[in-house]
Amino acid sequence: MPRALYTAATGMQVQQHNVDNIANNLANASTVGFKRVRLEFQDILYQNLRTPGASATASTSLPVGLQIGLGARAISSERIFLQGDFHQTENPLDMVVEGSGFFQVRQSSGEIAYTRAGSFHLNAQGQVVTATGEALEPAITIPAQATSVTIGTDGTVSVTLTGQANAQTVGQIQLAAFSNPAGLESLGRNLFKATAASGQATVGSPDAQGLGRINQGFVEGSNVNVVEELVNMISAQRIYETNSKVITAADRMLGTINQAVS
Amino acid sequence: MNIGLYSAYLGMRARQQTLDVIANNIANASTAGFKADHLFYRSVEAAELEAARRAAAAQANADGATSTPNAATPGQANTQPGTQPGTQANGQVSAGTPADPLTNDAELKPQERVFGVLASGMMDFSPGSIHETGRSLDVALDGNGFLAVQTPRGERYTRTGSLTLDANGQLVTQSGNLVIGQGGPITLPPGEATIGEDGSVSVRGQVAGRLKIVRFNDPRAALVKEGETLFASTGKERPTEATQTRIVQGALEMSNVNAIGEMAAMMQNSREFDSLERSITLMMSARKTAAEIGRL
Repeated sequence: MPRALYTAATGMQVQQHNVDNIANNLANASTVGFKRVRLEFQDILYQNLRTPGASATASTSLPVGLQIGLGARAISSERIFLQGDFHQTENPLDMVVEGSGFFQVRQSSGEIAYTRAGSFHLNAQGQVVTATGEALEPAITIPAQATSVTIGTDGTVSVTLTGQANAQTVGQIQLAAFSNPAGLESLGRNLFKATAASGQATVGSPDAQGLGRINQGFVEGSNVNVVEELVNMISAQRIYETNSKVITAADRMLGTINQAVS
Repeated sequence: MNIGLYSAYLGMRARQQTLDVIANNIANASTAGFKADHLFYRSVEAAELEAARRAAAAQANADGATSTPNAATPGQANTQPGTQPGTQANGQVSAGTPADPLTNDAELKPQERVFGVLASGMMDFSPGSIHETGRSLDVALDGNGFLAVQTPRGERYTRTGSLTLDANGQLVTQSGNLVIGQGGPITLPPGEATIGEDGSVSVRGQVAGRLKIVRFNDPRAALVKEGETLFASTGKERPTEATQTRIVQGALEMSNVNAIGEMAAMMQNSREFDSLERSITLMMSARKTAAEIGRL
């Protein structure tokens, strides 16, 4: 069987992954704190039918060889941690990190997860939690009688209570940074988990060690560029088609051979 | 008659290999940093003539001072392809008797001069299109250089600039191979990296290292593909520092596969395959006719 049949099949597989990924990016085009994913492809391996530099005769060598590649595969899905657009919301518990830091939240299992989606809420106990209920870490509780919440660029959370003139500090937000954020594992719900590839989190106060400053009253939009994704989709679809034409051509060759021997 | 059949068979085999190569090119049309392959054909006879001619030339010029490997012979016309590899994948089938003036071979009988075609591969190192990505660890090489990377098998070269970091903050490729700097691996502190046109990598103004960019005078002979968009050295040439290559941060060099060109080549390839098959059928029926005449 011609290698071309299988090679073209790997090409179609690659474009299928590509479209799957584009679909997920587009579906999350308005997810707060979403970071788009980019697939990386590689050629697989080569069959050396003639090695370049081998001797053609005693006195000559082949200037070039004959290597036939066996297709392509997807090698990695890398999250692109470029900053999304900031949208002003005026909601006091909406925050964006102007830098590379992540908010830390505690999952119901007790494990720490990391997120860039800074739209927080209060639960029944007055604790600052995400939309899915994971508590911000370190935990911050806003007293029920607070009239206003102010979050400083350094992460200091202070409240003004009814009948009091002076603001009162109730907590300090800590951010985490990773040497390789692309190595974080996605948990869904805008959450990420540290892995061996991402390295240990470096935790610190905002506005220090390059973690980024906190801006209250904004959310970070998705960093998906819809136009770019659409262009990628068109090209993926066309290349998929071209690969299928290769299969047709390989099939025709086989058909021709079958006719010749009949 | 047998020679004709064999020629047609070699021709069909070469077309099949061409389709294999086209299939691989198209499958890698979205592989960043991928370099297309093209096959070119040469007649077997021409190759033999070339070998004989070179042997004669080497003997005549024992000092080697005047022997030039670039002398024009039918085979050489194909082995020194021009700068438009897209046009090489097909055509150029010199299976017929070439009008070769070489006197050494004049005594060869005509029947012995008709042979088939062999395919050789050639990498197309023309630059792929450069896409703006905005990601700080994406680098495109504007020029003929290669990034040097460390693999368990030794130093390898690549044009794929989608670099990333490992858990220790070291600069690696997507396959996890360490990127080699001028002074060994490059470790980046946390923070946004800036990569200058000369390949120097810095974070917040502090230089962490400089990418090692190398070049080869003749990459087609000096490099061989290894998969994972890596090239291995064939040992023909030592890499030298690429001084004319500019590093563009936040951009990626895409595949240099030209899908339209590949499709056109594929169509022509299919037609040639069909013609060869037709010639086999005709030769078979001629043989059958001859056998029938003999029976009468």
